[in-house]
Amino acid sequence: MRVLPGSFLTGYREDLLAAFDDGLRRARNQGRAAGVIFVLQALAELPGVARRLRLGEGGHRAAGGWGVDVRHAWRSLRGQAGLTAASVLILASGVGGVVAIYSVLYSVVLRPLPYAEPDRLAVLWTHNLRTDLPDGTSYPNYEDWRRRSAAFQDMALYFRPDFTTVTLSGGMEPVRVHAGAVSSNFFQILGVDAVLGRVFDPTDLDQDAALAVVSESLWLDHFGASSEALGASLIVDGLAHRVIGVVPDWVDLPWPATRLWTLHDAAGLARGPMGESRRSDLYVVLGRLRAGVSLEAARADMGEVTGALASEYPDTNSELGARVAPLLDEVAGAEVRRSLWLLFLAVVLVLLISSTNVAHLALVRGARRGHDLALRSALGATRTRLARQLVTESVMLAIAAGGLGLLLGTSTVAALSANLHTLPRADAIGLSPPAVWAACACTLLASLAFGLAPALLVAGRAPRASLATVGLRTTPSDRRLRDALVVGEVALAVVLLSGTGLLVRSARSLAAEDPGFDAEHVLVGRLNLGPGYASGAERDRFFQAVIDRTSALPRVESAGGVEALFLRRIPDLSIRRVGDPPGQRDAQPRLTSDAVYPGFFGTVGMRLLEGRLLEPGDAGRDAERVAVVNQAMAEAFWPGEDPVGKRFDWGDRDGSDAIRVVGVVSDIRQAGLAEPPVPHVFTPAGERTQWMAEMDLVLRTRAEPGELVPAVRAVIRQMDPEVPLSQVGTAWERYGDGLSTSRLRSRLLSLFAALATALAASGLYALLNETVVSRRKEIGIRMAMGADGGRIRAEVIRSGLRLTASGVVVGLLGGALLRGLLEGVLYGIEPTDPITFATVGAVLAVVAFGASWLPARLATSVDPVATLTSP
Amino acid sequence: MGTTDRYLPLTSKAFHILLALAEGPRNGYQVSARVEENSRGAVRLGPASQFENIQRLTEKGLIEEADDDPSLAADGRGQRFWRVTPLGVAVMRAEVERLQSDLGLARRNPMLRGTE
Repeated sequence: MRVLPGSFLTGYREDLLAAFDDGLRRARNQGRAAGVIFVLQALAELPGVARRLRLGEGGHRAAGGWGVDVRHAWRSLRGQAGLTAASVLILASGVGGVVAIYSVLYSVVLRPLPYAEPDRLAVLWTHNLRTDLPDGTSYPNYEDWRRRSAAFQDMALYFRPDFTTVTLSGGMEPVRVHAGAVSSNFFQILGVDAVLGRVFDPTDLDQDAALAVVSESLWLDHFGASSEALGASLIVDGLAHRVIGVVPDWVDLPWPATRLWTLHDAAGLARGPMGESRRSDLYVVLGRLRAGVSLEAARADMGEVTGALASEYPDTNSELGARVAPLLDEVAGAEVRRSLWLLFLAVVLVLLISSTNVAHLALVRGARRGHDLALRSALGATRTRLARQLVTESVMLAIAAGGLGLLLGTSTVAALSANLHTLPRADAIGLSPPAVWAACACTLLASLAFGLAPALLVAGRAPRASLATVGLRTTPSDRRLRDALVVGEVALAVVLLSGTGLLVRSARSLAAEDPGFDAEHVLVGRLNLGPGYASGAERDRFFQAVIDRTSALPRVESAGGVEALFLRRIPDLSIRRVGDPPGQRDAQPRLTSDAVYPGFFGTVGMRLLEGRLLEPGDAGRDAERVAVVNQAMAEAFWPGEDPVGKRFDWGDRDGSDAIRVVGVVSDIRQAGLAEPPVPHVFTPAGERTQWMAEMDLVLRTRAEPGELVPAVRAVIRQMDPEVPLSQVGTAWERYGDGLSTSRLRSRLLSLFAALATALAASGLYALLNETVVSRRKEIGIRMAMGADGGRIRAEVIRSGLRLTASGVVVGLLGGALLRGLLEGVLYGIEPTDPITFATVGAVLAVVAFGASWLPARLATSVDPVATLTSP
Repeated sequence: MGTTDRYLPLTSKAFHILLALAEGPRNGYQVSARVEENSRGAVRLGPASQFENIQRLTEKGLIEEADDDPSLAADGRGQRFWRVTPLGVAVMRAEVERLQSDLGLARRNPMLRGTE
């Protein structure tokens, strides 16, 4: 009975039921079958009655269901297939961009960390107040922080070595995996439980055996996911460790892709024979805030703690503060976060531009159908009815565009994924529910923007006026809206183009910087010698032999070795020049250093500026201690002098056996192109470099570096199958890790800018063109009256340029908002760079001129009579 | 009869309902039973279509609720009674005249001569 209209039921429900009862009773008197037939007949007639009743109710509402709207909309969209397809494609490209970048932004920056109450997790660094740089923390300071801080519930620490990988060996090909050495409460702070076995706990430190926790993937690869892994032995850098538990793969601390955690006895080390200075920087501290404590409160609290420590230990702590950052920011990284937000802003601008274009197309569609709508309006269709139909059309357009945009966005992410793997948390990049929501939200917003306004405009027009203006196709309110669209579109394009222009110019000036080396055709790989190589002499012999043998390989031009190639280090070494009084080192710049084998300089293409390079004899046990310094070092310590022959020693030692500078080489921008070179010392690697258990092997090749990898591996396996070669790649790959983000960013931005320019240019053209076309009649009349075609053309072009100019002004004002975002991202260029803004203005002026000139010429070249007599 | 013309022709269901009610006020069930009886089973009214027709005839003013007659007071199940309005009677007359003239035409038709 529910199928019957409600109004009918309210009137007749009781009667209906009574009649049914009585009818059934009478039918039953004639037998059971008759009763069943009665019921069936009564039911069968319901749909028909319902339909007739609905038809009868209020006449034309029958023709007004959403189904009818959808059918009408479909017919009308299909009738203007070209415009429809253009609208869908334009909007889809805008939505696709937003979906793609939002997917990345969400996975990397916005997605909450997988740990328990991740908002309460923070990373604490020592803040060096003199250099204003973050640094590691010493164990004594960590102990005091942990004890005194009121804001933190607890703190844990992890060891911060130069290299985060260890060698796993024993009964298999040795592999290098990322590993973290952590305090016993590390997993408790994160709130991570073991999926098998257990995580570390404080009593573990009392045990004699070295313990390890492994990731699920290591568990799978190494132990075949067997429960026998618990208690099994794992050889980590030559030392046996007992596996006590397995944790999920998503635990990506201390670093991304960590697969092994060992227990680090920081307290034991600090109490040991070496002791530990409060100045040391061995650890990074992880803290869990007390519930309800804000980051600001924690910062203030740590300020007090470090202030008190500074006055208690003035020798060591006077320059040390603490820096508290949310763990999420630390994981994503400031640079990456800023880049992604920038890209997101760019795609939103592209979406806005495409929405303006589609809004205009909707206006054109509305204008072309003005007659149709006016007619229907005159025949009695209400304005609401017409508006509803137009809205239905835009909703259908939006759904199509949103779906297509979602597809475009997903495939873009897939296509970009090769470039994205260097981003933190990149493993989860993909289509996520929030990205789908983002697509829905922006499609909805865009469809409101482009659909509703023109719909209201068309529907709000008096029918007779519309019928009368059919020939002219536009009304003054149309024109105002259209003008606003031109100005808005130009303004958006200016913002996007100028932002991109700045970033592209910045990337250019960055690329123009001399990195100080020639990294083309250079292959790098890292060798790691285990405890089997006990003495410096043994290690030296092995490294030297690898260099000799690989340099003899065909297609290898030269080979060399270095402690660490392109390692980003905080300069922390100090020297004392011979002749300087002691105790001055705090006033001097800090430096970095590397031990190198002789072939290194030539292999990476560093240039000798003065003196000589290191030679094989320099490393001998009895040879004089010598070094080669870089230009930055020469300028910092011997400004205006010839540094060759000058002598110095490390730290504050006096110069009885001082190091003599034998040569100066060109600077290399160790920490990336955007970072100024740091003073650097190259010492000869050899017997005396006892500590050097790892070396980067560098080879200059005459072929694609990748082709030589198998041969190099074979050489090393032949010498010692237990020695792994890891981090194999070209020198550019090694150097460019940080650069790749900025390169990807400027490449993507250029892509979006090109898309935006194309959209804005075509939009501008279409808008101005439509403006001229709508004035065709007027132009025709004026031409017929003898007006000069040239003057009309000039007038049309002037009005086009005037609109564009207003848009440029608005856009420049809007561009000022970008300044804050771009500062710190740009290199070698100001956010107000006049050349960029002038270029953008000029480009848009040319587009605007072209867009108005062509239609103006068309309008004035047509026979006035033809124009006037056309409908 | 200009005023009644716009209601013509009546559907057979409407005609039979009016005919049943012209005998005196009836409730829904009584109407459908009478209609079936009068038409010798040729016109059947299920409850829904019955009230669909009653609603339509009421809206047109051809029948009305007989709620001013205390003898027909609701039997506790909320059933209502309907009767024919004077307009309804007039429309019936007009319909009968229309049918008669149609019938006459048919009877005079050579091919149908002899049809009762």
